[in-house]
Amino acid sequence: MRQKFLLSSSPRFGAAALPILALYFCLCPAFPATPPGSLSQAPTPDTASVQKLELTYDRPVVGAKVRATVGGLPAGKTVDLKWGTVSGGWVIQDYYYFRGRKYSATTQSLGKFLVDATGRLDATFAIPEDYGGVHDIIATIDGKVVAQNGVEVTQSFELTTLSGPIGTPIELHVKGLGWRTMENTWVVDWDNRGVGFVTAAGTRGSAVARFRAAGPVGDHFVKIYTGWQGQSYLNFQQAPNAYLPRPDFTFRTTSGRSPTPDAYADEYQPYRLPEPEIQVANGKLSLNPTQGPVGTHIMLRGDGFPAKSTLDLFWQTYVGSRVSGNGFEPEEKLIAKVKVDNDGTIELPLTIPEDLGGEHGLELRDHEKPLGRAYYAIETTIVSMEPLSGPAGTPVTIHLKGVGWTEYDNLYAATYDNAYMGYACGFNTQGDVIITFKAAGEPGTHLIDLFPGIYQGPPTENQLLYRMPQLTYADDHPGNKIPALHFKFEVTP
Amino acid sequence: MRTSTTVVLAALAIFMGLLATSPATAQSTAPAGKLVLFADLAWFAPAPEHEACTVKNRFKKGENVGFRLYAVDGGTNKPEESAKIMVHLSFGGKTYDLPALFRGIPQKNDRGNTMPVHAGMWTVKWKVPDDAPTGTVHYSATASDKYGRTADWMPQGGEESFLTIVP
Repeated sequence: MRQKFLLSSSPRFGAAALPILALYFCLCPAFPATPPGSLSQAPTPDTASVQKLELTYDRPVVGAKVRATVGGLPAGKTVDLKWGTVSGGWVIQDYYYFRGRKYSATTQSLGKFLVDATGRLDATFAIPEDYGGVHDIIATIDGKVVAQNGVEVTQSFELTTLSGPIGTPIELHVKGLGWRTMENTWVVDWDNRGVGFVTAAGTRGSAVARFRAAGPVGDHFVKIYTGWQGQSYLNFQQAPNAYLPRPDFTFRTTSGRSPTPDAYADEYQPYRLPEPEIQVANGKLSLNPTQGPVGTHIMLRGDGFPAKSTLDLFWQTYVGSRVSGNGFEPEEKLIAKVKVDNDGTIELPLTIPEDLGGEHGLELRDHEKPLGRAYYAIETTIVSMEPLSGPAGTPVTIHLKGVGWTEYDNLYAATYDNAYMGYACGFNTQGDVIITFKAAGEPGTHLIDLFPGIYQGPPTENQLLYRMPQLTYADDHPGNKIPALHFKFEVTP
Repeated sequence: MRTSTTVVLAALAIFMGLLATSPATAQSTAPAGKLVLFADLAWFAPAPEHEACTVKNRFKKGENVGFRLYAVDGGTNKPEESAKIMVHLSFGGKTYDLPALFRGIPQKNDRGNTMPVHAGMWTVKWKVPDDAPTGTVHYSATASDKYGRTADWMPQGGEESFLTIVP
């Protein structure tokens, strides 16, 4: 518009003005209200000859063979074939905050391959055990990209046990679960009841989901749904991620009793505790063992401390609640006076106090001066389930100790006969948890399983996988790997 | 001679006046706000496809990737209609620079039909070539306006939010 106005308003200009106006339009490009009328979509190659890799494969699952071919390459050169992927996983901050997931792009080598005398690359590789979804495959020579394509890795699921009596442990082995939001969470339904969610967010797409065979005797239908929020997305064929697999399995529950105990915890995995901290020269400090239930007898040993001194030993913990409004804070308690031997050594037997599950510090001080700190992890333990049998409607109490307090291990999410029941938290009662409910169902054995879950996360996290059973707890739980706890109740006629 | 001198002087005066209102000079009186640019991806599927304009970032070969862009004067929060926007795609060793079409006024599509007006929106339609490699496509956008302000934008959701071409 401005150009048109100027030209139509300049009839009085003499011939000498025209070159000046021409100069003006060269110097001052106009910004027309109308945009460019056509699209210029011709690509500009970054390099002289990036070609498309031809990829052939059957089903693009982890381990599948892929053949990559391309011609026109410099004969005799070595191609470095790279796999585009991500690194990352769950994020824990300051030991107790759950911060969701974080990934960053990276590549890994699929191998080096020689270009033949005709300039052709013919390489075969196996899809790495990695996250599912789209992966770039990049061929480089001397660090320059010469060919590229990609493969979309799909998920694979295997139910390793297909029959057994009530209480039989069942494993669902998954591979190729994605890292992208809509491709990273599946859900197990047992006879149309949600058991829990399945992730492999921190384990490069592979994990084992664990649950148990519930009754009654007969066939039970195990449906693996997608569900990015940890709940089954039932009309998955209409979902934006309809392309993902949702496999079906059938488990036959047989008569008889499973050899598993009436109440038991999975084997505890070792905690990753900080190394002891020492503030005295050439000093040493250790605990043995470094993890166990409350009440465990342990030995504190030290070396290099001030000879013949008496030191204070503090037990460090946290107290409070996330929901009371009063918040929480660190707290420490003097639990022993420690006499250092003439040679500067310490050897002190201790009993772990009743407290929250997870990491605790034991700090030695000379009055106000810290001299050293070692760490101990309290394991969650089953105190009791009472009673173990009775008619439907019988009140049942499960008692636990050493339940944790962080955002990712302060709770257990419960199922009853593979149906979600609710959750229990341990922070407000310093790890002492009592769950009560009434036995339900037909006469026979019924299962109560307590699974690790995630309590809460940051407001920026869009996947709300909170307060639900995480069936891949043993492999992929964020932070500490606490065990699931299992119980049987016999409903009598 | 006198007349021609007068004409030249008059033209010079007019030229100086023009300079005072030209975009280059106007930079000194540019709005206080920054030029803000943001965008998303949608499927520009041909009608009557019921998923037309569905927001997504997974596209197959032959599908139309729709870039929807918005340039806003950060001082007024109003669309900066003088903005020129360019989308930059980079994949498979190639770079594509795609100029965006301002949709605040009637525009014709590639079949010559008038497209709906969308106030404050710019769009780019990019058909995924049949020979496009499967993989992640990094993209960004740049904008400049009549005040000389510029803005850059790229997806904020990390690797996951880039355009992905699937088999």
